[in-house]
Amino acid sequence: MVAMKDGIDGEFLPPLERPGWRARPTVGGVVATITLVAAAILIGHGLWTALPAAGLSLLFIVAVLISAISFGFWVGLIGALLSFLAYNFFFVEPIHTFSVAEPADVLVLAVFLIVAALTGLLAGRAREEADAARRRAEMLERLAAFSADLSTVPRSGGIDELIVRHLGRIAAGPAILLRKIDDALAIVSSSPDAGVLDDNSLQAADWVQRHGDSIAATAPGWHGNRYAFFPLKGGGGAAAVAGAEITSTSQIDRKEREHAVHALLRQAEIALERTAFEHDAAEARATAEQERLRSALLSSISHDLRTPLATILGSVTSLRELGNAMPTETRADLLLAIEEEADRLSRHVANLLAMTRLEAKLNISLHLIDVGDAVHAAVNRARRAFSARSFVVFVGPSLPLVRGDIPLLEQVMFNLIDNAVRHSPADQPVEIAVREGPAYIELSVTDHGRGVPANEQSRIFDKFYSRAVSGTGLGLAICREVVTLFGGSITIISPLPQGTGACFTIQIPVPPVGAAP
Amino acid sequence: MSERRILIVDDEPQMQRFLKPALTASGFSVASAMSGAEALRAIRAECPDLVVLDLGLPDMDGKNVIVQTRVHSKVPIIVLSARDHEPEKIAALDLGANDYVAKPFGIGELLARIRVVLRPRAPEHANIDAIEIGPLKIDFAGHRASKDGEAIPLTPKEFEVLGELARNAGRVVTHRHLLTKVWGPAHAADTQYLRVFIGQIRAKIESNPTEPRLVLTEPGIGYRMNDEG
Repeated sequence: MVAMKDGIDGEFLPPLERPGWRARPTVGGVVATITLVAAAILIGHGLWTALPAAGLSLLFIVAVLISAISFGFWVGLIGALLSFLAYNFFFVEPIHTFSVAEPADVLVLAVFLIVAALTGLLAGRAREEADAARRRAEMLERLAAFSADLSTVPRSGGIDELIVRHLGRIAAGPAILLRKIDDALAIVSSSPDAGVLDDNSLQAADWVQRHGDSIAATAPGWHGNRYAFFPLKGGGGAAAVAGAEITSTSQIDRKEREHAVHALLRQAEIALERTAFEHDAAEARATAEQERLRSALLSSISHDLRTPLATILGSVTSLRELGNAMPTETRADLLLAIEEEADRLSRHVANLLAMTRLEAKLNISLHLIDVGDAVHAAVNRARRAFSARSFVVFVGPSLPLVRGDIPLLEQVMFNLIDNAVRHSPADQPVEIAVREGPAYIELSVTDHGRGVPANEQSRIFDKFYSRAVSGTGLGLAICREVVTLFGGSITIISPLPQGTGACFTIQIPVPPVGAAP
Repeated sequence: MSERRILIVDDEPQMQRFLKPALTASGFSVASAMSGAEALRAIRAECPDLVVLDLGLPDMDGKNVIVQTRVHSKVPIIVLSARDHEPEKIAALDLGANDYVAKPFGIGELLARIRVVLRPRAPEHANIDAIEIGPLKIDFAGHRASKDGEAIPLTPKEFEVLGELARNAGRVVTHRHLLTKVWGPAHAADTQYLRVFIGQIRAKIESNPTEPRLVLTEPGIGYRMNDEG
């Protein structure tokens, strides 16, 4: 519960009492009681001959009971007095006078009065406690409903609206939520019946925001303010103020509603804090992930660009300065090393560029492409880069066009082939196939290497995750990003049915005929 | 003189691929190691005359190789390291590496470092009277320095700094080494202090102090007395 303070807050937020049972008598209750007693008199006259006089008193007890249960203790007591007088007047000798002839009848009347009063008291109290219990159950139910709604509120927001909706229900009146935005309190959410806040209400809300205490609608000094305002802490950002116009049927009802409002706001505070923490945590995770990627990118550039560069520069200077002292084969080997490393550099630069294009979404416009073109270009590049390897290529006839980008798809296919070449024995072919599926085109690259262990399969598409010493960890990550961009998917099956190898499969959806290019 | 043996420690086959023939062509006999463990074994077993050590090894930190080697051996170590890894280079030098070459490098740069490091270094307290480096003559006995025969007025501290650089001519001398040597261990981190002294020395010995040719700066690491004219 929100701490309740003495002093200026104390007068509008008294501590919760046990529910009273002494409801003030109402005009309706008294009228109904008179009617009940009158009815008892009439019935008594009818049964006058059948029942003994003392037995008739039971009729009045019933009347007192009904009026006490229906209208509370005081009305019951009025009923008891009326019954006492009526019974004395109509049924105790001498009839039609308030005097009593028989001394025994005095005793009967006294007992009657006591019984009637006690009955009224017990029944009235039971009724009012039942009322209080019902109201409390209702409030608890509403708080529980709020809890349930809170637990499903999306992280992105909607919590303000939720608070206002439930606050309105509990207060049984309009509710609003204000937040400090740019040094001024502004309504961030309000129930439809809230209307506009007048200056007095705004000032009251501002006071609550600054002091962190609540203000009742009836609090002195805030004339014209209809709302009770409560501070709402938590949520990381500026503190909020919740306002509600509490309508109630009785003083007790009002107190209970105020308490329920406090309970609701406390729940809301916890929820706001939780959302703030979740938000912070998510932000921290995102920052850490970005940081990790950045440093991975830096070390990737540092290592994967620098090593080939170091080899090229070292080989070139060796050839120039020491070439005369080297045997012919050594010179040829250094030239080959230069060529290979330049190729490696260019592949890495191509991947870095592709990654940068993907990250920055630069110059990427998808249009209808022939997948076969990209595959042939990639295979040609692979044949040049890995001239010692054999490639088996199958491209299905008259393939439908898909939405994509040829250079990116070529890079994807080259990366998959490059990956297959690096992870399979030199005497094994790499198989590249393009087939048409029901609503997609399927591209696959199959190798007969050792395969990818099951526990690594989920990570190989992660950026900078590399199984090979010479791998950059960019190739497969680019594959996944590009394929996702095309609206497709990439999967790996390893090992193949024969126990070794791996098959990477890409599915790119074929747009329905007549779709916009 | 028999062939000097050089151990190349680098896990990149491509680096080995050009270093080996280049050093062979320069008249060295070359062995190679692809990992830190292999390197430590080779240093113990084959007692190379020099180790060229890449700091990025797959099995252990290259600095670790330096530490473990220095326990039993004074074999000169030249570290290969990325250009932007200053702290790593400084740590390697402080741990006992003799010099470094930043990747990527031309073979000439590495050969020059190798030559300097293999050259016998003037012993610490040997009674050398004087060292001549290009136009500079440093007379330790007389605590005097001259350039082209003309005396250079140096304060005692300036003379000590210049003397330390001259004794290590051609080799990199770290800030920490100079500061500890001349001012004591308490001043090991006073790099700014040293910068001022070097500025004063350059003003006295360099023909154009803004383009020093004798006392060269190794950015972020230290200084090097140029002994190649």
